Amino acid sequence: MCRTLLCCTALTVFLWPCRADQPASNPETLIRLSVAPAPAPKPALRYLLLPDLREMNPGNPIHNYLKCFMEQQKFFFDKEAFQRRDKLLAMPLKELPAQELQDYGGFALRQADWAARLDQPDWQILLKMKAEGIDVLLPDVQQLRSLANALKVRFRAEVALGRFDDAIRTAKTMFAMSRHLGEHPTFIGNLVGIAVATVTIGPLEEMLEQPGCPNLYWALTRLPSPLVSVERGSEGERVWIQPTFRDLDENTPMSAEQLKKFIVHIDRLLFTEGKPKKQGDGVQAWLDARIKDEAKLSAARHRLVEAGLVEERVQRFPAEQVILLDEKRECEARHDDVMKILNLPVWQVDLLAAELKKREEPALFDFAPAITKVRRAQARLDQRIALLRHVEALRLYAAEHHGALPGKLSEISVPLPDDPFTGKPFRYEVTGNIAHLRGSPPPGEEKNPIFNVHYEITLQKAEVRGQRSEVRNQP
Amino acid sequence: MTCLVFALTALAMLPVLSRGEETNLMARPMPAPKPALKYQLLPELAELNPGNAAQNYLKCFMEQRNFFFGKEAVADRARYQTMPLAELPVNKLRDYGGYALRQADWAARLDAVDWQNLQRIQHGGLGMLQEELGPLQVLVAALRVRFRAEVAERRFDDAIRTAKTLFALSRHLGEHPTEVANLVGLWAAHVSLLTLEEMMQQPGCPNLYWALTDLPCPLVDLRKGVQGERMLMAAELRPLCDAAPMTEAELEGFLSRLSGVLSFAREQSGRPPRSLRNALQARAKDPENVRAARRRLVESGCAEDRLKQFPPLQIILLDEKHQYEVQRDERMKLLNLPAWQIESMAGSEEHISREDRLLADLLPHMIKLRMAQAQLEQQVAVLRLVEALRLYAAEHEGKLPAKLSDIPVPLPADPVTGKPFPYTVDGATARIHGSRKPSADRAVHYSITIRN
Repeated sequence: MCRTLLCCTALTVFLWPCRADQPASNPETLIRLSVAPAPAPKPALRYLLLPDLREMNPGNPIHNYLKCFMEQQKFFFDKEAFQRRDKLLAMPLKELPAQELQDYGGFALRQADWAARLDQPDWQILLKMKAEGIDVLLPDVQQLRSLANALKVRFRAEVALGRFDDAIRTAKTMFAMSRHLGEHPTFIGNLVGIAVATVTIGPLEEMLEQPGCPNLYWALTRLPSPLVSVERGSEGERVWIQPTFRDLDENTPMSAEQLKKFIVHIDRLLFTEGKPKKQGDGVQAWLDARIKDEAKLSAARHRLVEAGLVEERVQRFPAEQVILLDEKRECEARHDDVMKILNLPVWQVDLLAAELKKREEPALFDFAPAITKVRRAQARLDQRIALLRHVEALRLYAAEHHGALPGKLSEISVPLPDDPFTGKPFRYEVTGNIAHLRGSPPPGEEKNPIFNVHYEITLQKAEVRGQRSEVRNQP
Repeated sequence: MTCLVFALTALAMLPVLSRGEETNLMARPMPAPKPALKYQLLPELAELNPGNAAQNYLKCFMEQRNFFFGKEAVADRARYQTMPLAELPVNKLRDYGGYALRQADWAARLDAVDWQNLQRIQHGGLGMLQEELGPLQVLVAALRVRFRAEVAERRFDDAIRTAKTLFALSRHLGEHPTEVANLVGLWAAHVSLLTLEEMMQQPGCPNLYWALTDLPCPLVDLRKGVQGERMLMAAELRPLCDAAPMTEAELEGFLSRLSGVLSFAREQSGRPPRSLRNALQARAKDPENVRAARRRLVESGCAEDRLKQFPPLQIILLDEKHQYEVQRDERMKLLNLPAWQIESMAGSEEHISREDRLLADLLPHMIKLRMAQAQLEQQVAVLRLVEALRLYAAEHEGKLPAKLSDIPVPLPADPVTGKPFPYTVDGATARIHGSRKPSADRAVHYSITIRN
């Protein structure tokens, strides 16, 4: 299914870049930052990481993001331009030809700045989702990744040149875009939003290392949490499913022809190219196995009546219709069982989702989204932002304490966020002028470097241009 | 300035609308469908959904760069638009454009259109980019290929679906607040009508007389575009202050930008370069010139005391701006008049010596615009006549009427001249003549042969 494919692709973007030349010892992603003490700016919110209301204009940002690509084939998609962008994204900041990149992307990226400062995101997709269900394609969402990558190049160039005001403008554009993707009524859109925000974090870290970079503790603290919502996506998941069952009647008995048409439709959705891989895999085989068993059929009728269908009607339904309706009921129940835990803290989602999985029996329609993965992706982003708040809090502390690091986090006077994966403080230790901050992984991911982020923060006495490096060590 | 490039490019496109050569159509008698509006050429309300068409057109291009912009695809599309219908590789072209063009069908059936550029046009000046217009022309071309393939296979229901999409897109472009977009809309409708002509010649093609009659007139509006141009120029001239004296630096900044815009406009229209600075300085140094300019400004309502404080260059520039606005409105006021009236009324202003007025190169090309619109209406009217002939022939054993007044359904006058189309008949062949300009004679010739 296209949608599943897209969802998987969306989830793969969370593999952060790593330098492979480092020796592998611990299963963690090590991010080395070299930063200088910096007090909070005055006024405290002089720098923000999302567009301020004063910068906003009326309009639909989504429509305006799409305009970025008009007449810009060469910049976005030419092989040469594409390869160059890949290089520019990966090369160390000090090697970046920043002067050449001063107006990188020109009008196309300035159009993105404009779009990000419009106040009414409308993806114009809801009705299509209702009409086409899981067949609907989301090419616009996919294409915004290219825009984010191009913006990241501009962001890095601005950081390299020490043009912090411009860099913050780009950061605002990227974070606003990620939040607009959070308004997309699909998890796919939300995940791409999380990916865009994650892409923004890298240059932001590089910026913190630059001499004279303002302290962004309050700017990071002002960011909404979660930064990218998945609320609209979860609502949209219900909409996706509706058209799937449009032709499954729950009021009148269906004819053999109607049932056959519906079964073909479901086969197409559930199996590659609409055909089961082997005998016994198809929808008809599933139904046949249950129709034969009178007890199962009777239990299915009973459940439908309990769910509110009129008993007399259910008695008149053909057996296949009864089983299919019962599976639909089960699908909706499972869907809600998964969705109801979405807003809980991620460590509770992990626990409850594992319990749900244990008690599940095989079902025909398994459309429940991979909510654990979605919430973990969201929490990883929030964890990274929370860690950066810590980095900035350390810079604040050092500025007030003659360049010294705190012995423990509780010595820091500004409020610090807990680790979104545990609800507890981050792990912190100091060795000389180096601080180590570690996030905790969710259960089962203790050996996965993606979920084990370690910031090694070296505090510079004098302002020295730092060099950020990121190492993901395999276990 | 980009807006200017587009405007000039689009105006260059206008001759495409004026096919001078004779068009030969082979048509078959065909009665009106029942019910009469069984076929329509714009999406009906019943087909519409809520949403913004403009945004959804742009979605067509997402993740579709090979189809729209790949070298091979572009070359193929150019061939498919021009090769004889009978040679089209219809099997290959079935579902041409796939999801991308189905997305255009969806977009064309949305009930609102908001191009999301009003605010930027109000404040942006002539440097505003209308970056979506180039790709939308490519979309029109792609839809036209699908339309031709459907016609070639005589899949008339599908063909009419595509015609609806194309005409709706044309009308949506008529809602764009720039002239250039309106012109692209006229062009899109024009090329759609060319394919409709091909369709009307296919055996079994339903009679589209009432479908064509049902089309709104004008099919593509120019009002928003013309108003948009006003806004663009207003934004461009906004830095020229009439409330307080300007400093030398402010005047220099304004002049630099204006100079660039005007040089570019002249270059694009193939006119020799001219130094704006020299011309202005010459005028500003001539006290008589400055006095006359100041007097005109006072007459137009500016406070005399205030004007006395202004440097001569500011006075000359303000006077030029005022003269520009007067001339611009003299042209724009004609927009809603019938074509044959506009030509006589606008005859003098289109010939104003461009050397006299500094901003004359930026005046709207109202006659060209209006004529382009009238020529499109003429194309629709001629096709209505062709379909009326097919109706008549169906009721009269394949015979053509001796004169147009024999036809029982209402017939349009030539939108360019306001007079009935000259019509002659010779056996099974009828000839209809139209004019490209009210003052010109019979430049458009349609020859319709009825095949039984």
